[in-house]
Amino acid sequence: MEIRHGLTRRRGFTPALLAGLVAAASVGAFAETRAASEPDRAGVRALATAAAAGVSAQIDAAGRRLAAVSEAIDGNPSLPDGELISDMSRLMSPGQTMGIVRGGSTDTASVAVVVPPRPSGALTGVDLGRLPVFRLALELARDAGGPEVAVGSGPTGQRMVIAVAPLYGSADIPVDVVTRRGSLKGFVVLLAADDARFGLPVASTDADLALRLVQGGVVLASAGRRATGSRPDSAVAIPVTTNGVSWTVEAWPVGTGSKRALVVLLSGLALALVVGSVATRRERSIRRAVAEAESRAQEVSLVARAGPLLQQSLALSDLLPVFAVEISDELGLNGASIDLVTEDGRLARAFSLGPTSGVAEALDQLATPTGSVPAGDVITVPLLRAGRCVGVLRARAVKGLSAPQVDALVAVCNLMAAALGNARLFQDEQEMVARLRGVDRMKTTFVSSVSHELRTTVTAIEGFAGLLGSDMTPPDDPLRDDYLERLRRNARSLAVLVDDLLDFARFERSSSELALKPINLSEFVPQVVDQMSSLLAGRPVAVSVEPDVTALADLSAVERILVNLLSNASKYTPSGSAIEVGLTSGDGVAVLTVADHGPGVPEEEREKVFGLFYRVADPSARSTRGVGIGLALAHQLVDQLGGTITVGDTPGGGATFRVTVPLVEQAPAAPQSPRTPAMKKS
Amino acid sequence: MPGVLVVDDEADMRLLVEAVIKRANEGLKVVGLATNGAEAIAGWRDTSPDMILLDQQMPDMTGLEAAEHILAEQPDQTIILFSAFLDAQIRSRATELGIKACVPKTDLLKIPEALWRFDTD
Repeated sequence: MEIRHGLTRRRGFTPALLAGLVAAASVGAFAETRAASEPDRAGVRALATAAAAGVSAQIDAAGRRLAAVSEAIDGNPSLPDGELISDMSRLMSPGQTMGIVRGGSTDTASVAVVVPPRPSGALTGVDLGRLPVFRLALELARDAGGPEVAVGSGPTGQRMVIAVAPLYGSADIPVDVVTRRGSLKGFVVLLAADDARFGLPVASTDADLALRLVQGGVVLASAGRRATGSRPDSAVAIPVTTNGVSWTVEAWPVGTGSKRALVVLLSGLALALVVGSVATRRERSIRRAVAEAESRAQEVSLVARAGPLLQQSLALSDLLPVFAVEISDELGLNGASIDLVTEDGRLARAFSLGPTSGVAEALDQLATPTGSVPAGDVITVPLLRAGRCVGVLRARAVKGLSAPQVDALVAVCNLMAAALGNARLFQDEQEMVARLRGVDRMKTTFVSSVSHELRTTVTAIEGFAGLLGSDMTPPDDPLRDDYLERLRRNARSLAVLVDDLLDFARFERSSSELALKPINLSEFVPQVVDQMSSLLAGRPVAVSVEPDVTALADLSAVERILVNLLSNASKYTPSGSAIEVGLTSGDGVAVLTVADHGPGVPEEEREKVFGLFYRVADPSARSTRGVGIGLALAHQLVDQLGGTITVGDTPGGGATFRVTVPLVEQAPAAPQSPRTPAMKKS
Repeated sequence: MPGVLVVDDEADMRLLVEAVIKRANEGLKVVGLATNGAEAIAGWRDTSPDMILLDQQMPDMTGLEAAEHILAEQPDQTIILFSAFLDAQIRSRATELGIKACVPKTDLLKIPEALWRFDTD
């Protein structure tokens, strides 16, 4: 009798079912020799209980040991014979013989170990491959690459049950038949003589028992003529769990007579164990594969989820926490921190969860981690973008990380690096947009200021000219002079504005050439102030000049600087208040100061006032006429002269602008133009 | 004789407006001069002018802000915005507030005519 066992996993095809099928094979062998007899109901129930308990115990103990040995053999094909004999001896029951066949084909297969050794027994040292029944079983097993069972006769003619379980030399059982055939290393062979009793407490009885192996209401195997019918009330049921598989052994008396039914069933059950354990191990290997696949799936899912996650935001302040929290949750990390490479190539902490996990190594010592990480160790992963390190992730692997988890972490970190690059580009772009918006605002303010300045001045000029030219103002009207003066001042103001605009155009080109020559500022400064007097109407200018201060400068540049400073001062000085112009020298520079008594320039705006189109934030000053060019231009010109310009407070309130220009003695003379002695007069 | 309050931070403009109104001799009279928004509101209370000629760009507040203040108390006050820079935004806000007209400063000599046209009294 033979049954093939395909290893292809099917619904309901559990190890226990396999075991049951094998057991059923044995039952079939028994059937022809069984003699019917009447049950001795009085005494057999206890016997049935004992038998079921014995079977359960046998299955349980043998199953566990067989599984262990089988694993040792499979995982270690070169296990010494001595150790195999020792291990297998513990599995044997009286009447059983177990052998190991090594070699995966009929040509190479040979019996390596037979347990127990029988000095006078027919099996001892016998090449089992010569036994026709065993050869058959071996052939079947080899053909299918799966466990096989057969009933036949031994060398002395006795009946034997032969179970063959293949060994593949590895813990994993190949899934397809072709691979199984190719990787066969040998077989575990169980031979059970039909007079064996397996040490069960049934030796003293003539009772015949019906025995069944049941799982989930399905009868997997049965022995005894009436065992196939419905279970009588007198039956006992003993639950058994072996190798994680549970079933129930049911037994009840069916009469006295042959003990063969029991013997054969037990042989079948023992064979079932061989098959069941192999199948269970296959189940385990499938579970391992499933677990591995699940682990891989988890990592793939981590990487897959990281993508959308990192695309949710382009702001670094959003990205870093989301990233750190996600990988920490997923991989059991603690204290994750992210350092980013700064513009000057250093690492700076950008984000961390909880206490910092130490400082990352120098950038050039960072390597992408490979392999597993022991529990509690800190893992350091460089964030690589196009091969360049843009940051570092550090975290403590609380539960350790497997190699695939480390691979997944590295992959996600590289996604993060790409996202960081995008975030930085976005940030740069945002800053550029903000700058452009600022420039746009300044231009708008500029246009509005220029329009206002031009219209107001032109209107005033037109208005006064109209008044003077019309009949409304007779030639002897005393107001004429006032109108004329106002007209002149507005014309001057317009000229300054136009100069400003022209300067602005020049400013934009930023390429005006200065002709440096010695200038006697002591004489030049009062002249310029004088020219400006009409613009400064109502605001007396006090000039205090140290004599003979000669600077190496450009005449028109100095004039523009002074005009712009005076113009600025006049805008912010209330009518009637004085403007003070001073000129001193010292430390190799001429120092020109223009002090007004306006609202002054707040400390925090002192750098900004020299910016193009800048107007002081104070609302009362914002409405003051001006387009925000004068001071910017003065700053640029002073720079070109090699000097400095600053603004501070005027004692008593207001702003004082201080300009320094190198004195002629200190300035490097042009090679071909020796210093002129007559420089005091300009 | 309808009285006009002239509000402008530029002395030249105040002088010009006053001269133009005076010389036009069309029955208008300048009853007050103000150099900023606060002075405009105070001058309006003091002189109860028939019309206010209001500059837009001033140091303490804009002409629109001053007008809003005044029109909140006296919605039928005739106010004319007189500005060097008038854009759509300013004109639209002026209409919202109930300002009678916006006159650009370049139309200085047309001021008396405008004042008459928009005076509702």
